[in-house]
Amino acid sequence: MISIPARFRVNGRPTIKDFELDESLYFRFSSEHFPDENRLPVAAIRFPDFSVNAGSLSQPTDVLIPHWVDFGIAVFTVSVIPSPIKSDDKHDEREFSFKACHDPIDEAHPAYPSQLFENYAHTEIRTFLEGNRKDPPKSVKKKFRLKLSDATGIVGIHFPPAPSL
Amino acid sequence: MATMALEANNAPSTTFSRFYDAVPLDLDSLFEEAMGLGVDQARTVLTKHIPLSEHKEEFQPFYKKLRGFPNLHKGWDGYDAEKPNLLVLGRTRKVLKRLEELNFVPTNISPSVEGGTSIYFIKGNKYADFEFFNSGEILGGIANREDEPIVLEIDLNDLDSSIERIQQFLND
Repeated sequence: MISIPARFRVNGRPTIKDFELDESLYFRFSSEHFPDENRLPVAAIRFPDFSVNAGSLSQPTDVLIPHWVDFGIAVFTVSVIPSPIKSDDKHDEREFSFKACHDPIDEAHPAYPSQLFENYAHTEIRTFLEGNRKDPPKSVKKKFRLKLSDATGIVGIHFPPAPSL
Repeated sequence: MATMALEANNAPSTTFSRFYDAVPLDLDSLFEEAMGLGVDQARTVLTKHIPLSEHKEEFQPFYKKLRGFPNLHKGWDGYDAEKPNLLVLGRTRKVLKRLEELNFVPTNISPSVEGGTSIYFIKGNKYADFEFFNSGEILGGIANREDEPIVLEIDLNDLDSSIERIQQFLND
């Protein structure tokens, strides 16, 4: 059985409805994107839905568990999640919004399908159109990623090995 | 036709190189021919058999990185990213070659977590890129940490105007 840090366990704790604006959100990035001039390229920024860890519920290095110790860690806060973005297409004026949604994991991990892997801090940045989750055009995705790249900080690279599992 | 040339020539690296050199002239049709070779062989043609020494020194690291992209695996980003496909690799090389001709050196190139590749430029707070998606779209972007970022639609048939836009943005 995998032994994971206790803070990963859901243990019946509630799902957080809304994060504070200063909540830090952490994600890992590959060595392919080790930053130039302390900036993460847009190519390292996923489009929603994508996974992050809520900082108030985890340690920054938790995003390297279980087996991404050679990755880097990046961070942004809830306050910099882009405000709604309109499609650039003049025939399509839909406006897409984005939100950090707490989404605790309590299931088998892909790397260890026979084991239960929990991550209470798991959070997803999700896209909405008029309140419903929706996949927007590529231009909206690109603008979102440019904005988030502008506001994402580098926590660091080359961390000591994560706790053994 | 490239496939016939490959069969007729006993010096594969020379033939591969000649074929590869033709790629930027009519990428999409040559891509189709390359696919006729079989994916693995086409990937070899498009990514491995160009001597780095044929490129300007400051561009050699980018071509070297590009050669390594086919070796990425699904999920290379620690999540679920696809690796760049053959079309993207060819298009990335085409734009790199044009940048090399113009002596406009990017900051770096990388695979994209959205499935594809990116050629990007960073100058102080200014950031610009070309991003090539496996789906076939090519988008550029410029951002300066202050103003609203701008998304550029890139047309490979009018590549120079996009390059000029990025140059102007970085130099203003």
